[in-house]
Amino acid sequence: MLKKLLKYDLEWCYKPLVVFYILALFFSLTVRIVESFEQSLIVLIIDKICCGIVIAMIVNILINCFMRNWVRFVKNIYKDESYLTHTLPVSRNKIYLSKILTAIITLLTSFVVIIVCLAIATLNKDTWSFLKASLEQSAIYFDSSVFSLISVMIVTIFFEFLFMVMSGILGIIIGHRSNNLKIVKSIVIGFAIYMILSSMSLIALFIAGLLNSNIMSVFNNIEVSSNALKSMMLIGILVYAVYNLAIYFIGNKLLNKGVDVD
Amino acid sequence: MELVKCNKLCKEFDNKKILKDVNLIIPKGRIIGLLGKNGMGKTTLLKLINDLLTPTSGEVLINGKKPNIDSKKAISYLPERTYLDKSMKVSQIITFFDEFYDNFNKEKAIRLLKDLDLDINSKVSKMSKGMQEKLQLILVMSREAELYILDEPLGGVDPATRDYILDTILSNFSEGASVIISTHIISDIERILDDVIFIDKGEIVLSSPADELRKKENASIDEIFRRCFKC
Repeated sequence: MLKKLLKYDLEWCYKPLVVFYILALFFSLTVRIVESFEQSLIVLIIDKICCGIVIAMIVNILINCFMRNWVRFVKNIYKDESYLTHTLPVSRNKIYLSKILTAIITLLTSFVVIIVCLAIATLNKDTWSFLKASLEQSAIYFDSSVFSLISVMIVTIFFEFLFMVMSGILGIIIGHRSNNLKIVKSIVIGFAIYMILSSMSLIALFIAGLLNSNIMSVFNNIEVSSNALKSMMLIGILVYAVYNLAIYFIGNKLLNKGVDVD
Repeated sequence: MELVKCNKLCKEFDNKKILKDVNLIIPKGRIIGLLGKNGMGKTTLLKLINDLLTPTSGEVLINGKKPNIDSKKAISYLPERTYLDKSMKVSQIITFFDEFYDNFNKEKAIRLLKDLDLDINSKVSKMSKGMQEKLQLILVMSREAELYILDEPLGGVDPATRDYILDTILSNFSEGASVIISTHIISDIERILDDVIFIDKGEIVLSSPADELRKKENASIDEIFRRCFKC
């Protein structure tokens, strides 16, 4: 049943996302092609317009990815479509898990498309050698390989974005437990969860700093050691992983207590 | 054993009691009319039976158990509103029901679609509200369920189609199954009811076999209802 739920959830979320993926890739390619032309004023104007569109598309992909997941959740769990969702012979655990997996998958593919678009639009011989040199330098600074450096950065950013989506979902669940102003409460609570937990991660970093002077340098100095930055990223991944798991289990428990559909 | 049992069922919204200590038993193999004026708690009661609302106190038991996956297999529910994904086609919705419900009869659904002149290839968003309601009724009645719960099935339907819909309900529910029909349009459904339940201000004020009630009051259910709920 989870597979079936996932199929319909993904289909719904990807419908507009795929259009933005295609547009973003198309304009990235256009930028690439236009930049290969001989320089002239008109080429420069077209290049700038296309660059602007690529950036707009990338922002669009991210916003749409967030919004589609939240809107799907509200529609399926609390609005008209919930009359079908909650009468399907499927447990609430599976319904909830399907929504979370959909958020993870759509976010992952959006990340991949964004990276590919940026690579197509900006990577050429010069930028590649510049990027390579910078990454190698950073890798030496961080005392790690280029691959693990990029991986840690991507995982940290991905977890942070997933944390935003999850905070929104928990906000929706808590907001819809009341009888009035459900949407407003959902937005306020979701934002509050995000802000409070983000502040808590700073506190966690500070506490870790009390035990490790390297980490404390993040709070004391502008220039920090590679060890401190490395520890900060690893703590970030750990904290966000814990937050995402905690939000998942709290949301699941609240949903299993029952819903009051509109 | 009873199909549905409500024990001291209460539902409050903002400290306002919508249902008050409802005790109710729905036996197997009966057609029951849940009758009451608008806003008296009919839909709330049906939503509680379908696990769409959480009781403030009391409990609902389906086949002796709290609502669970098995109870959802056993109940086929037609809500008062359209719950279909508007971006889907009728054929996709049929596939959706076929995939999720083991007791869904796809052939029957396609046959009923043809009977009611509904195009299997049309998009839900392009259909009128009345057509969407008909489609939902077809989906609900194409399941071989133990209990059919129909909330205002005649609400948005023209009088000419009402008889056809009632006949569709009568000729398509599984043998031995029960049907609960919630409505305030009584004259049209009176002929098919085995039992009636009157609900007023969140309380069950009357529960009786339809024939007994008619004999006792020497009047039709419609007349009794009008007398009972006179403003």
